[in-house]
Amino acid sequence: MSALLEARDLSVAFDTPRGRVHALDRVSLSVRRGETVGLVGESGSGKSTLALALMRAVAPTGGTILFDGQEIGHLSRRALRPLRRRFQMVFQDPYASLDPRMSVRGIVTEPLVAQDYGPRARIEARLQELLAAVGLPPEAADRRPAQFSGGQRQRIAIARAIAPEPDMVIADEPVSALDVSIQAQIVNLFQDIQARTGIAYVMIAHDLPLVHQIADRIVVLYLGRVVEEGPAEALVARPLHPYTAGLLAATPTVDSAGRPRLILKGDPPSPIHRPSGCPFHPRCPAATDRCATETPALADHGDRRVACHFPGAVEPPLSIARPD
Amino acid sequence: MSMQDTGARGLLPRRPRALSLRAADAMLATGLVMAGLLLVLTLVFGLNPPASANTGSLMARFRPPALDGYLFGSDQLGRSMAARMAAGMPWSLGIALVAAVIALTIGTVVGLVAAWVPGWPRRVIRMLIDTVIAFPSLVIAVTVIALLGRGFWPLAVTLGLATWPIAARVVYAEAMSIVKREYVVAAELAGVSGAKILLVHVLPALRPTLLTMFAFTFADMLIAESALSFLGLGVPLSAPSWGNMLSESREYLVTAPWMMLVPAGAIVFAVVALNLIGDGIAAASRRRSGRAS
Repeated sequence: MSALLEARDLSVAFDTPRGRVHALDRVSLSVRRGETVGLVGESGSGKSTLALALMRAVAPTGGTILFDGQEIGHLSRRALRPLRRRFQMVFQDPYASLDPRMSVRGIVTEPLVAQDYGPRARIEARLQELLAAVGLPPEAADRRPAQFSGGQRQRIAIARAIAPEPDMVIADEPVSALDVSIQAQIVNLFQDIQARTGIAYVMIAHDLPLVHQIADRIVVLYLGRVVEEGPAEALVARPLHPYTAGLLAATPTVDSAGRPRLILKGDPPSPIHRPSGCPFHPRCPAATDRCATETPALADHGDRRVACHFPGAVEPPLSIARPD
Repeated sequence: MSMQDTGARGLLPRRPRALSLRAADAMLATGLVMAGLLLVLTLVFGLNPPASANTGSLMARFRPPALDGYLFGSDQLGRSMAARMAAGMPWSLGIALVAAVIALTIGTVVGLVAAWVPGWPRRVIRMLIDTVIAFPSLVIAVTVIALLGRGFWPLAVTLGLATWPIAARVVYAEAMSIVKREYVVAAELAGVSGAKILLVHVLPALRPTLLTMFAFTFADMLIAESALSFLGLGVPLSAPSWGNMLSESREYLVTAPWMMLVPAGAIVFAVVALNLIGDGIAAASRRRSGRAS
């Protein structure tokens, strides 16, 4: 099956007063139609930059992005506009991503109006359909974002994203700003929509169990590089990269008391001063001299890929229960 | 300090600023009343100029202010200062208004475009802004008036064209922070065109800034109009603009100081009104954004 989205060797670098920051370093990623790809990593791993680069909100400094076979990595802002209908985004903070001066009608129909979806009556009908789909009452259309709770606002943002019937939605930590009690509802909403429309998702999170719940495949990023990729079940059951194992171990579980824990020591290093060799070696419990000098390539490992000299060397001490 | 429960709105307790806010509201209200008075008088005298503004009686020269029909005194030709001040209102306020509208319109369009377009077009626009600001506006004014002659429109257009870069720089700086907001990025990713994003998302967010800047620019233009007229570069000498009146009063400063005090007082009144409005709007918008965050 051909990929809907295919990023190859995607790099994004920013020039800062303290040096060049490689936010993304030759990241390759593919998303098939109807599939959910989870992206995990700590803060600063490049997850959000990857989302913005795939959405072409940021211009990549290297590599290519193929969307349904078409190169979009180097298209101009103007040339991208007609394609935007097909890939949409949900942001992390529904308090920042909705214009406080606009009504919900204006917000949700904005992509439809921008893309000449049809006559006004058709847009209004689509609006009502969308409000129903995300579980908001019809009268919500005339209210402003300030009159809604965080969870409701995220529903509005989701309605806006799916309005033009896109093939793919990229969601950047769509539930991490919400109350825990609301998070499950929003996750369920994403899954309902996928079941009905066959949309593909790129779900970004720092919470591995959450991604495990909804993703078909998981991609783990560390310091702007893919360190491990594979089917969600296999990756969580038996992580090959020590960093993945560390992320799993860092997740609190109900029966975690008293068990040995593999702790990710320290913070991720600054992407300006990248460690030599394997970027993870200063924090890795299984690091050897080789890891400090030789950078491991992302290599195939069955149906998975991992960038480690000693894949599977670190066993996760805990099994993660699915949160549902 | 008492910490109130702010519920889901956030962790910050509401700051106890009620007193200063009431003061800001009072400033805004006072400014609006003063400006409203000026507006009504301008309309009245603009439509029916008082006849006594240009016809004086040589029997009544240099009358000091008194309740004998010359409330604000009379000038060297025996013309009523009150009537002249009133007749000057449409000139002075009209020129300042038109100049402020021109400056803000050009400044807003240029500032918004500079904030949206990346790369070399932005650098060119910023260079243009800096270049025009670096030009001494008095020199521009002298040149333009030498070419176009005196009058309402040459003066209004000149002042507007000399002032727009200042507005453009403020709009540019403010718009640069607005276009980074997530809802603007979201609109772009939804496929909305740049022009529409600027119009629908960025311009409304600029409204408090523009209102404040309008009040202050209006006041600046009023002073600039007076200064140019004072130098003889403004409106026709026969027109009773406040600047012209000030200019005429120079020779009689010692013998008839009211000739200077009346137009100067009118200018101060209008400038204070506009500054009160500007400060009041700024305080109100700060309060609103403080609440929203």
